[in-house]
Amino acid sequence: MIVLLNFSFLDNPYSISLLLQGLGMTLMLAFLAVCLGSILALVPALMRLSPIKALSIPATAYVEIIRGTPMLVQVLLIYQLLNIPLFLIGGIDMGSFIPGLVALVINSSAYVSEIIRGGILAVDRGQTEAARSLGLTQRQTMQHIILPQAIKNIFPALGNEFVTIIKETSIFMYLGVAELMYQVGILKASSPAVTELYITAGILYLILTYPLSKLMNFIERRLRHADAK
Amino acid sequence: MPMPSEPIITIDGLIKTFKNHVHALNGVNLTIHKGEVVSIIGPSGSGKSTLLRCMNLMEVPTSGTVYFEGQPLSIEDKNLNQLREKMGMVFQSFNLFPHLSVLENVTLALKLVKKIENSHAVEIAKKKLLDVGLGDKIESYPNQLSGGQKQRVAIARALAMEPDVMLFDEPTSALDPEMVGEVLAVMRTLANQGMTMVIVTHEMQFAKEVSDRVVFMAEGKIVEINDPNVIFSQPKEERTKQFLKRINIL
Repeated sequence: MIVLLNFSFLDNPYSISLLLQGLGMTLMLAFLAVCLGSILALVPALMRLSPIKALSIPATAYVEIIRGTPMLVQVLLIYQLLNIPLFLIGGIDMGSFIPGLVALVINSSAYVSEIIRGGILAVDRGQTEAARSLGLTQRQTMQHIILPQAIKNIFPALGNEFVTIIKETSIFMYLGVAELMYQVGILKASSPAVTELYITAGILYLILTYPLSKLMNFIERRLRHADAK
Repeated sequence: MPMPSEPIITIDGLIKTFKNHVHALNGVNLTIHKGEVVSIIGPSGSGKSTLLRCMNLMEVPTSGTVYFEGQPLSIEDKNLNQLREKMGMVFQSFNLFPHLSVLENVTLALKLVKKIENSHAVEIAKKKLLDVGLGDKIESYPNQLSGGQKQRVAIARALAMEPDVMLFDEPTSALDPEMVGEVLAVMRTLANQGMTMVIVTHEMQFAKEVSDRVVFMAEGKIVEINDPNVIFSQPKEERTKQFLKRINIL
């Protein structure tokens, strides 16, 4: 089958502006989700590492539930539970943006907590022993010895999580958050070039994710190099 | 040699059973006196490292008590960190902090634990690094150092805390043969300065030379404690004889 592609909608400034707005929203959602999610992720990560079962069991349950259920279910459930009425800030409907972001942050926190936990566990046990033998408390050991080394294990994987989340934001079209796929949906209604629109969307996602992967590789090398300076 | 009388570490009825039901220590009693150098020797798996690691509760004994300067140690005790800082420990695998410079490796605990201000901590650290012959390496990072240099930094790091006793856990076992001498030289100097030392080692010649007493362990028990000149030439226990014969000392 021969398909003649027609990207003429790209001549229209209105389409371009919609797509770029969507791209901006996608990037903002992903960035906020990974940043807030990473901070939140420290809680289940450290809880799971605790020898105290009352801490580790709930954290394990949290991580397993989030990782074991579809993101779409989580997003719609949180949207229902929060049930925020429509109100606008900066032209964005917070009634769908906030539940969406909350869902994304929670989802991200579960995945990132496993990244953090793995990064901490990968630090040699002898490091803790050396620190404790010098009289450092458990907290000081974590802060000054373990976490700075764990960061080098965590950072590259965190970049992958960012890439994943960028793609996951496409789920927000179900909530009416004006991210990239939502804007594609709007343009689709007035354009016959549906295939071209989806191809364009794919390329725009790739424009975000590919340089990001490269950047993370670069930072990873820099971090490894920092030890060897 | 006259025996210093005041005990610094007293080990009473120590039993350590690991999760996999390995009996690492089967009822160990031992007293280390102030100013004394005690070497612990024995076949691998005899529990000598476990015994040493119980002295500052790096390993928590299943039962029995370790007393440090008269106080029983407990993992739940809030003061354990203060007691640990008085027991310097040197590890087989050095365990330097790879993200910190040599100088920062030494100053970290001075600042965090002893709350000494930076400039003074740097002064102390430089002095200690000079003592171990590494005055020119303070800006280096651990992975730029040889094994022998790493271990000397580790010793300087422990000494900077002004410990009352130094615990050495096979300090030369991970070193290339040509690096062993420089580490032993530092330890020998330390012994001559009157530091209380407990050394788990496979370096029999060194143990014979620096120790006031040598402890021979096998199967999680102390088999024999004796004067180094006696234990290496006329051990009284059959098990000790077997071991020393196998490593060609007897």
